[in-house]
Amino acid sequence: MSESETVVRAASGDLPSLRRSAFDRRALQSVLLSAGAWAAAIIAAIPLVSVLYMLIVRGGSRLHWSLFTELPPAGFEMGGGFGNAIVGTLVMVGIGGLLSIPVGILAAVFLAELGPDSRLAQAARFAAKTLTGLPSILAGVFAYAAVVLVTGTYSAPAGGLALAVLMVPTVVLTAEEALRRCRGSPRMRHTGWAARGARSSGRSCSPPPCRAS
Amino acid sequence: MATRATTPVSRAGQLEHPAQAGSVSGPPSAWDYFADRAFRGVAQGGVWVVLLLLVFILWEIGGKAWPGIREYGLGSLTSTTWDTNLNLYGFLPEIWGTLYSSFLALLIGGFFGVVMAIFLTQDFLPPRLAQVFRTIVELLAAIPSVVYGLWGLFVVVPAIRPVADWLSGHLGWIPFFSTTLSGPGLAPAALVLAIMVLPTVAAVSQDALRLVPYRVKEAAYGMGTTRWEAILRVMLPAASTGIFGALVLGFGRALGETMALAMLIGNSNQMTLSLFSPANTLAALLALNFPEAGPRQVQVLMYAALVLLAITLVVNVIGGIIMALASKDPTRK
Repeated sequence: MSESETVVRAASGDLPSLRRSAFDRRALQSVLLSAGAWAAAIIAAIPLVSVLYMLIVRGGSRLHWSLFTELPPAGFEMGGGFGNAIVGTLVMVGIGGLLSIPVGILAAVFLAELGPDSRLAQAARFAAKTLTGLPSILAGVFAYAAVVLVTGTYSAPAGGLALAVLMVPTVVLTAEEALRRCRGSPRMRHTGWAARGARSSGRSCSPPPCRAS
Repeated sequence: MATRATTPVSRAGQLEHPAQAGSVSGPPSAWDYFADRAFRGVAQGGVWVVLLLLVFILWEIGGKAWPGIREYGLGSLTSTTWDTNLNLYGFLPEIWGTLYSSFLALLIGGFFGVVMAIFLTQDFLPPRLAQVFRTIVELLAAIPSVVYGLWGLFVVVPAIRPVADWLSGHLGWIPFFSTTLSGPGLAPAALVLAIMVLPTVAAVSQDALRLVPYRVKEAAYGMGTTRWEAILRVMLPAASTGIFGALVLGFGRALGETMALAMLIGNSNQMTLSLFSPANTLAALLALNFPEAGPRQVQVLMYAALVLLAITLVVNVIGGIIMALASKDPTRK
C-alpha cells in the first residue's frame, strides 16, 4: 500500500488515526513497562558492583605479594597469607581436571560423532544433564563416602574426586556442543582424505577452527 | 557419521599395491582397523564412565545411608528434634527450610531473571550494551558461594535490618513478619539465593526466547501491537515452556546451594513461615555437621544427603523433560 493511498483511506475513515500519541493508554503502558525493565536490569546489576566494592574495601588494603606465599597467621597475629590455600586449590583443580577432562572429552567424541543417537548416548546425555544439577555438597558427600570413609583421612585426592564429579558433565556437554559445531565441512573433507572412521574425529576436530571447548 | 570401509580388505589385497606404503590413500591396514576399534572402545568407555558415575553416586550415598534409614525409618523425615545426646535425628525442619528458602529465592530471582532475559533478547539495547549486561549476569554466576555468604553477612543483613524491623513492628500479625530479624535468617538467605538463581533463569530463558522465530514478532508488530503487547501476548506465551523449564532448573540450583546458606540462614532447627527468623537447609546441615560427625551421625547425615539427592534429582529431571519439550519449535503446536 503506497503512502498516498494510506492517507486517502485514513482520511475517508476506513482506518483509525495512525498518528502515535505518547499518552495513549497502550503507548503509555509500553513506556512504563520498558522503564520497569530498565530498572530491573539495573537492580540486578547492583549485587555484582556491591560484592566487588565490598571485597576491595575490606580486603584491598591487605593485598600484598606475601598474601599469596605465606601461611595463615596464628591466632591474634597480624600478617601472613593464604599460600597453602592457593597451592591446595591448584592441586585439587589439577587432580579434578586430570580425572574429568580425558573421560569427558572421550565421552563427548562418542556422543557427537560415533553414536549420537544410540541408546547408550541418550542415557549418558541424560546422566550428564542430571549431574549438571548435582549440588556441590552432594559431590562432597559422595567423595566422603567413596574415599574418606575408605582411607580414613581427608585428602587431596578426595577433594579432587569431588571436583571431577562436578566438572565431568560440563566438560562432556560443552565439548559435545563444540564437536557438533565442526561437523560439516572440516569433517567431511577429512573423511574424503581417507581418514578412517573414528580416528578422523580425533584429527579433524582438534585443529583450531573447532577449538571451542 | 563416521564411515567405515564396507568391504573387508585382506592383507593379501594390500600386497597388490606395494607402492602405497606411507601414502594416505589406499585401503585401511590392520593397524588402522585396530586403532579405529581401540578408539571407539575407549570413547565408549568414557561414555560408560559418565553414565555409571551417576549410578555409583546413588549407590554410594544410598549404601552409606542404609543403616541410618533402617534405624530411624521414616521417623527422621517427620521428626523435628535433632539432639546428638539423645540420638534423636529428625530433619523435617531442614527439608522445609530447603524448599521454603528455594521457593522464596525463585520468586525474586525468577522474576528478575525472566525480565532480564526479555530485556536482553527483545531489542531494548544496542548490541554492545546488551553484551555488557549479559557479561554482568554471567559474572554473577561466577562469584563463589562463600563470597556471596560474606557479602550477605556484611552488606545484606545490615541493609535489610531497618526494613525488617519496620515490617515486624507494624505488620507483625502477618505470619511472614512475625519475628524480628536477629542477624542471619531466611530473608537475607533468600535474597542472596535469588541472586545466585538469577543467572541460571536468565540464561535458559534467553535461549527459550531466542528459539521463537523472529518472523513471529514481526507478524505481531505488523498487526499493530506495541512492543510490550508483542512481548507479553506473543513472545512469552510462545516461549512459555522454556521459561517454565528455566524456573524449574533455577529451583533445582537453589535447592543444593550450600556455603552461602550455611553462613546466612542461621542454622536453627525450627519450622517457621516468618521471613526474619533463622532456619536451616539440608545442604547447610550437611556442610556444618560432617566435619565433626561420629559414625552414627554420619549415617544420619548420609540419609539426609540421600533425601537432598532425591529432591534435586526429581526437580532436575522434571526440568530436563520440560526443556526437551521446549526445544521443539515453540510456534508449532
